[in-house]
Amino acid sequence: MRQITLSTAVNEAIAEEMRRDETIFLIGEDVAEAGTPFKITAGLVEEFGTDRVIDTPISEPGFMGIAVGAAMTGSRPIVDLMFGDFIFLIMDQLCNQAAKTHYMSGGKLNVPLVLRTNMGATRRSAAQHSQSLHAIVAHIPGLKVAMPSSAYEAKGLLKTAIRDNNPVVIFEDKLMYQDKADVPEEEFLIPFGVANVKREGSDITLVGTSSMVQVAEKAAEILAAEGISAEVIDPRTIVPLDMDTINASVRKTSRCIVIDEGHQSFGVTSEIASRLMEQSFYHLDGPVIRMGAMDVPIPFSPALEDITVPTPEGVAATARKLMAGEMYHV
Amino acid sequence: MSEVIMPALGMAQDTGKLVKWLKAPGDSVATGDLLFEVETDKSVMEVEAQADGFLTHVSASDGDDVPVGKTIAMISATADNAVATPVTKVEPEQAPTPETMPTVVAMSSTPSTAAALEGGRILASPKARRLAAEDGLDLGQLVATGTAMPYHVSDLKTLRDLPASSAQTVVMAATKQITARCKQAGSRDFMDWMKADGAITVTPTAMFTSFASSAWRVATEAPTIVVQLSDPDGEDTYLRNADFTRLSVPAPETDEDATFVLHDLSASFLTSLRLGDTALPTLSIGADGDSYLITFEFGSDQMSNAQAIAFISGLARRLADPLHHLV
Repeated sequence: MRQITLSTAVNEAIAEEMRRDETIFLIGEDVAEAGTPFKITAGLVEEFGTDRVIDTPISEPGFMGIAVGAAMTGSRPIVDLMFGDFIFLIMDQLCNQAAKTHYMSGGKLNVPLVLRTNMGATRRSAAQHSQSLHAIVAHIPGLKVAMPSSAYEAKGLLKTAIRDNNPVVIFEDKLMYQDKADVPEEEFLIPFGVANVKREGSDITLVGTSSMVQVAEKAAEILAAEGISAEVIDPRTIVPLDMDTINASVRKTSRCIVIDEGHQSFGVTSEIASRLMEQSFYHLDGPVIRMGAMDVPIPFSPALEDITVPTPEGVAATARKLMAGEMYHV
Repeated sequence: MSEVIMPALGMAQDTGKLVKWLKAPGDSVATGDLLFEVETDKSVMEVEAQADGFLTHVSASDGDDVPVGKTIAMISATADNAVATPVTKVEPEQAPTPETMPTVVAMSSTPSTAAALEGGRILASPKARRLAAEDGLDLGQLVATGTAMPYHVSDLKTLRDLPASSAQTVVMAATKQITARCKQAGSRDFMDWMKADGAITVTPTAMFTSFASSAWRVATEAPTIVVQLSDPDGEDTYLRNADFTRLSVPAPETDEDATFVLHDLSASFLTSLRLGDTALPTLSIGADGDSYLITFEFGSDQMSNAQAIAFISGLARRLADPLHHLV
């Protein structure tokens, strides 16, 4: 099968959907000729023109508000938010308007909008351009949240998002744009709320989101060499969240580490760990462990930044302790 | 090595408050030295050492509420282990006050489960707890094996591999135990005297049955007492109100439910028996040198500590001095 980068996969998904549906348009800073700083949308303006690939001033609340209004009135906008950190600028448009309009209009209005943005540290972008803020969006009812872990997921999930009649936020890891993966030539979609068992195992479950799936897979390799069989699960979407698959895995292994690049406190790891405690308590042979980014602003210093987020070695070390029954507080 | 236990100073006393130690761990002590102060509901009393040696294995601190009968220290030949992990020894090998009067020498929760739980709760994973409950396994037994907490599913294998005899302790989990010792001389003199003076043969078994029934009646005020006299080689006999019958005449047999089980082991090397899964209080009388060793096991739901202590004290007193009892 051909291999393409995550960046190309996103570009293909947008292009294919825009060809299929003329109501779709792309809007954001530097999305047209510049093709975004990550060169994701390069070539689209040439095919679809400036009416459907719209460059905006540096005014996130402005173009987000335009997109929400357009979505309410028949268009299907794809909003490009250059850095996930800028989501704080559009919280009212996203969380108060887009997320609630269908509910507050008694179902008369839909907001078929996709917000594409990114997350992820270790790019030396410092504290205001390195955050992973998906948990903040996932907290708001009315928003769906997808977290692709490879080029394959990025394309399949984005196409599903574009066809969804509700607002969807997709967080792509900005360090994975050049990572290649097998992606079929033919059209495919990945449904929301269906987790992917990336690797089967029997001793411990590692649930990872986005780039943390790779971290979990590398940790599983390290552990396999030591005779510990780790199962790796990629939820693919955190809203909706496929707890059936995660529960089934944890009921098999009795142990679980949840790994996510958001800050550990009050985040995705906490939510999944809590649900496991509620739903699989009597199947747990040890505490569910959360591993997220440290609760500090992401440092600019490379030496510090690299240890702020979970690493394969760190996950493996934690798994070893959990297997040995040493991961507890008395 | 001699045990230092929290004494029962009142009849309805479950715990005693250790007001303060009067000796420090490692101190040398002599018999009669004041060891510690205990507060009961009525007063503060001083407790004396019952042996010479060094105070060691101290497991209770000033201000602790300690269950009656719990071993709180040892008096050892050496000063090693002055402070140590709690001693959970079940049966004392040696009575603290072996001389003179028949004495209740020890009372402790037995066997492993209750003793181990006194210090705190068992730490185990939810899955280990669930599987143990489903399979009827007692995690408390793992405590006795020295397996480190918290327990995980892998530790259940250790529990399943324990010998079958340990499994019986599940039934006995709520059992408490009292042991007492008294001289045989009084009883022997009595039986010899009956034979010589009145040509009446009194067997030890008949005497035990009668005295135990009498002591039970006084301790519990029960109107009817049925002793299940065990016979390991044949059928047990059930004797009704044996204390109402003359010692030379067999007590009437009955098919009523037994009040307690009596093992007469005085002619054997055994000192106590608990066979099968009987839920009844069980009394064993064995011989140890020139003494009778009395062991009584009972559950919290069967009688109070005070009743059990009164029962065994009464029995020991009767065996030590039968004539006094009969008069």
